[in-house]
Amino acid sequence: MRYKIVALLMLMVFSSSSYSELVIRVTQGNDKPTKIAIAPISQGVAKTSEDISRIVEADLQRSGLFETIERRDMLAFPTRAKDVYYRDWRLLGAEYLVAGQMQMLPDGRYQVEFSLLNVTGQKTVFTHRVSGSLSQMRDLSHLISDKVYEEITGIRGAFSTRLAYITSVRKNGKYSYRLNVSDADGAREKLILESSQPIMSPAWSNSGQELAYVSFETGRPAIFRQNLVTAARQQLTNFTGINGAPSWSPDDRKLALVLSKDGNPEIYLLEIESKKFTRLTRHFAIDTEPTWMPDSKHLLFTSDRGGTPQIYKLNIASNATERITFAGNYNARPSLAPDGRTLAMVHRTTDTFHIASFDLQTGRMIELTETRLDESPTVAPNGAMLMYATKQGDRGVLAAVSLDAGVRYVLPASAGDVREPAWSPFLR
Amino acid sequence: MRPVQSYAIAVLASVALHVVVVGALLANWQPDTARIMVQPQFIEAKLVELAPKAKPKPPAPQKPKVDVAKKQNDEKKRLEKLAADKKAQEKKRLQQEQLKKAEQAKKEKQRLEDQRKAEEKKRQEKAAAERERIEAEFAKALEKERSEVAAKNDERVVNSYRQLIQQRLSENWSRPPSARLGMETLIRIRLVPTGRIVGVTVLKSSGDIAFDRSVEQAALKVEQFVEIQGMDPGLFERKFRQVDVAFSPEDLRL
Repeated sequence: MRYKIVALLMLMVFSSSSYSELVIRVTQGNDKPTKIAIAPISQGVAKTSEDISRIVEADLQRSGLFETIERRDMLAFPTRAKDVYYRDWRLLGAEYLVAGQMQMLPDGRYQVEFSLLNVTGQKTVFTHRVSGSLSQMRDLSHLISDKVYEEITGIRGAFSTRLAYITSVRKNGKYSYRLNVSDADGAREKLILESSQPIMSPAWSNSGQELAYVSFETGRPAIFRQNLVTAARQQLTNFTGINGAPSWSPDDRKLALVLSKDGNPEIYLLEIESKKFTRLTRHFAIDTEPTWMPDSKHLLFTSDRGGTPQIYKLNIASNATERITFAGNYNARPSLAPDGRTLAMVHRTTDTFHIASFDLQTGRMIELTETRLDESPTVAPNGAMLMYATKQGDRGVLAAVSLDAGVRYVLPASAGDVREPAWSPFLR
Repeated sequence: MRPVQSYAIAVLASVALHVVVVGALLANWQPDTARIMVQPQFIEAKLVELAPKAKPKPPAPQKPKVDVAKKQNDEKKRLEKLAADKKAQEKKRLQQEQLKKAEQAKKEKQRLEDQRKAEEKKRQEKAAAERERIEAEFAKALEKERSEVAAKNDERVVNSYRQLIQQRLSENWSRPPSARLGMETLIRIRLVPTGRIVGVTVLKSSGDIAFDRSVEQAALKVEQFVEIQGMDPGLFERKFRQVDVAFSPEDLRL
């Protein structure tokens, strides 16, 4: 009898322990863009044509992670957290609201105080201040976008970053090549270099202060570096044959590049200070397009040593190489996301070139674009998007795609053919 | 061999019964259940089957038939004849003796009657006890069955509500891009009987603020599980006053 009671008690313990599994498990989501309202930021004190709220709206919308509420649907335009009636915004389906106001500082600069409000949770998430001069309204707007984006998505915003790219315009039968830098949204294009000879392969230093690029201005390709602030310029290579594809080391002290001075294209290392070159690859096939891995110890590069162009990994100290990609008959132009794991590249399976992302850990390849002549992928410093060059009609334009392929957009076209985008690192 | 065999069957039956009961306990049994009484038809069927067994069948009392009167008469005649032959004292003595005997017979009769009555009473008591035992056993079985059915029913209802809550949260959960496989946030949702969510607290953070917030937002966006309004109040108190939910994505790429 006693033993039966014990058995029964044990049963009770077991059955009740199975009931601590009362936790409901949610393992699937329904990922939709977050609905956010950007109330017009009162900026009457500043005489500017830039509408900060509109720029923030466009930034967030372009990321693909947000859906903005139309301004004409808004019931009120609050500028401070305490003036917000959450119910109004909830009616519009907004999950978040940004409200802010601008004021002039004693030194003549302008300050925007803005708040992010969680409409669903009915509370203020944060209130921040940013300030700048009249000419910096776009910078202030992108800073606001960055703050909001980072808070909600958990990823650092890259709206305040820049793009470098090459345009070519045909004028009176003659080509004019330009190296430009613009905001990440394509606005505020700035000319860095103009030449009647081709310019290629712009590469950002990790400080964000300099660009390295290939220019044919001397009659043959040579690698230059140029400071974006001081405009100081320096020629780094002057060899016969190919001088190409520069890539800055993480500490900006070296460049990996391609030289064909010894016969066929090989990967070299240049110590910028001492001007010392070190040859890294020795192979009769073409080795090109080096890109640094974050550990500073390895390079990724493209080689056709296996019969078709594929991506290889090179150990700088030992010169040992290892093939990385196997899927498809063409994989080139590696561009590594800052996580050191996701690799963007140009990928061809049958006869069309796509931009694909490749997971270095799992070996999974995902095609991100479906157009035909996509080239030169460059990953944003936050790893959320990548920019690439493609054709619209017969014109070269820049397009962006998120690394989960969820959103795609084409940048407003500037004059001529646009090619070879390079996304800057985080600036400042 | 035969007695052992029949004994074995009984043992087997008993073991089988235990297995069934243990199984039922393992599967469904919970200490705080058994309050929803939705009784299916088959219980009534069992009632019908068991009821005749439960009804006592008191056997008809058998009345002993002792012909005392006739015996007395014969004896009297014989004594009268003897009395004529013998003296009056003798007669008187015999008469006394006879009276005594009659009294004895009467006593005997009374004793037999008492015994019979006692036996009857005993039998009736025994029958009543048996009936009571059967009834108690039946009630016990019925109660057990009822609680098992109720528990089963309870669990079915609980599961359907849990599923509903899970689905609704899943529909409203929009993960940030920082979400990764293996992240998990555990929250506690507090409800009122209308199904309205009156509180959401993070019990265990994933370590990623944006991910945690997406989980809270999912719950807050649901606002109300309207269907919970129709729930049995007891069940609501026991199982749905507060609900713990773990959010852990399994459908992501990374």
